[in-house]
Amino acid sequence: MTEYDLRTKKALRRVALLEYGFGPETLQGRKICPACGRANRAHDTRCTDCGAALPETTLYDFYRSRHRCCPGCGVAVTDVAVYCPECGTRLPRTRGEKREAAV
Amino acid sequence: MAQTKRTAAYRCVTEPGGERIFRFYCDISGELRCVTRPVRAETEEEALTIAWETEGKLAFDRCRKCGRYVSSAMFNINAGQCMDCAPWEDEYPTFCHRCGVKLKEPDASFCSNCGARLQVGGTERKEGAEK
Repeated sequence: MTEYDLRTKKALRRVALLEYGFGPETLQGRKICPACGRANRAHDTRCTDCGAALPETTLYDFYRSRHRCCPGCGVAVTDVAVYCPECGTRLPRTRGEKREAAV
Repeated sequence: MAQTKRTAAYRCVTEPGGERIFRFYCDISGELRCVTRPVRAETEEEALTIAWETEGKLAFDRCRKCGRYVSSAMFNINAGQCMDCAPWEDEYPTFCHRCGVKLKEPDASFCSNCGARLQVGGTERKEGAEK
């Protein structure tokens, strides 16, 4: 498990999420076997269950591919965000916003 | 919510003795979450109901918005929705997502500059999160 300075609320919350099996760290540490669906560790190259070759990408890459992401730090952001809540980068407009602006 | 979805995605394997084993997968990532014990029933439908009710559904969270059954990794516990409907949000953001100001309070719920709610809890526009 990642080591955190547990004196901060943020770190405590991250640990709680890890225990639950949710959050960026969980996603970054997991790969799904395309053949059998078994969850493997991110550094595995073969599925521990069926031996099939695992993709390079983790669940985090998969998750990011389904969302709008910050061009600065790469975190997935909600559709309503104008600025990245992590690094403060101004985000490019979403497709819907562009359409609204054009009308 | 899509109320018609009864179970997570699954595959059924019928054993030589006629018993059926179900493998249930996360509706988003395809992660295998549960392999049931062999179930004996007259029809596959019946066996599916037994397998899902007794074992399968315990391995999943259901998105309250879209109704899909997903793994814990794909379920935003803070929003009660799947990661497609509500991407993960840092509970202690550094910047306001609406006005971009650097936040002074590490655990504030609202931006002290523009008043935006800092946790949106979903991908749809909501009161307090609009520009």
